[in-house]
Amino acid sequence: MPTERLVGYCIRRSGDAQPEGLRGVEGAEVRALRERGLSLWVSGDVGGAATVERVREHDAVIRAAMTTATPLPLRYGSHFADEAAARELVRSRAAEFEESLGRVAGCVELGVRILWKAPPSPEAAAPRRGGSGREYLEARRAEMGREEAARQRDSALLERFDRHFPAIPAVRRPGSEPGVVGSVAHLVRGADLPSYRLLLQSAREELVETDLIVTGPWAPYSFV
Amino acid sequence: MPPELPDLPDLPGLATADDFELWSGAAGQEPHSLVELLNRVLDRGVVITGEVTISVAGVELVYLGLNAVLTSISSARQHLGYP
Repeated sequence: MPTERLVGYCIRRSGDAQPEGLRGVEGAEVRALRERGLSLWVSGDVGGAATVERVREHDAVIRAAMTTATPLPLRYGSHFADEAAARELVRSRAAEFEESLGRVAGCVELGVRILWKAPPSPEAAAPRRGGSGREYLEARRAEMGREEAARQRDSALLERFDRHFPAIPAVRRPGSEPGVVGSVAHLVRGADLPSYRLLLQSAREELVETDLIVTGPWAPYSFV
Repeated sequence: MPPELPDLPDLPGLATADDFELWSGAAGQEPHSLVELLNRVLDRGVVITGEVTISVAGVELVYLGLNAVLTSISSARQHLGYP
């Protein structure tokens, strides 16, 4: 068996269409390793660190898989010492992968990024250096109060958003900077995409203080 | 110029990409799309190994899980060539 180090892209069922002439990160040829009724898409590991371009190339292979059946996307950087190790990984987790494939079959992931329309209120001056200890503590306390208030505003808005999407599996990621409430990932069945679009519209109509940026369809990164 | 966004696949039995207002097209949203891509590909998905090599300022680092978002919107904007 070849001893080349490999990177992995996604897992599918063996019966799903296989990569044909598909190129992955740094143009390496993508091939399928079949094991236990599953298929692991890999290419040779060219080494080196992550770049945005490589991240796009990784996702592009997964998107190619998506055109025929929903795959389980692997995180970028999933590497194997050699083909034997890759096959062993699939064997050891075959039941888990089968269960996940069943759960996401026929589905796609949509991403909704929620932004406040108005810019965040100007930050009061950060606690001054050189002021008294008490001044510092008071300023710091005020700053923490503002941060907590912002978290509560974001949390309340996310709850209002969620109410528009009952019974849709969702994963939230809170925003990490001012103005970004957070991102929500939804797992949506293909047949439900038209009605999902209406739910997005109703969310947009209610949450007028926000912009909703929709991305996707993604492979179900957030649900595997 | 911001880079071309990847084509959305036509998924069998699903609405076509044209039916959806995806990638929204409005100016200034590409940095958000980039962050959405990075958050998924680097911080979600099936985990095989516990480590990913990431380069920060030219130094390769191995990290065991991603807590903070790898890039803020301002970094994403810079990368995409926005002012």
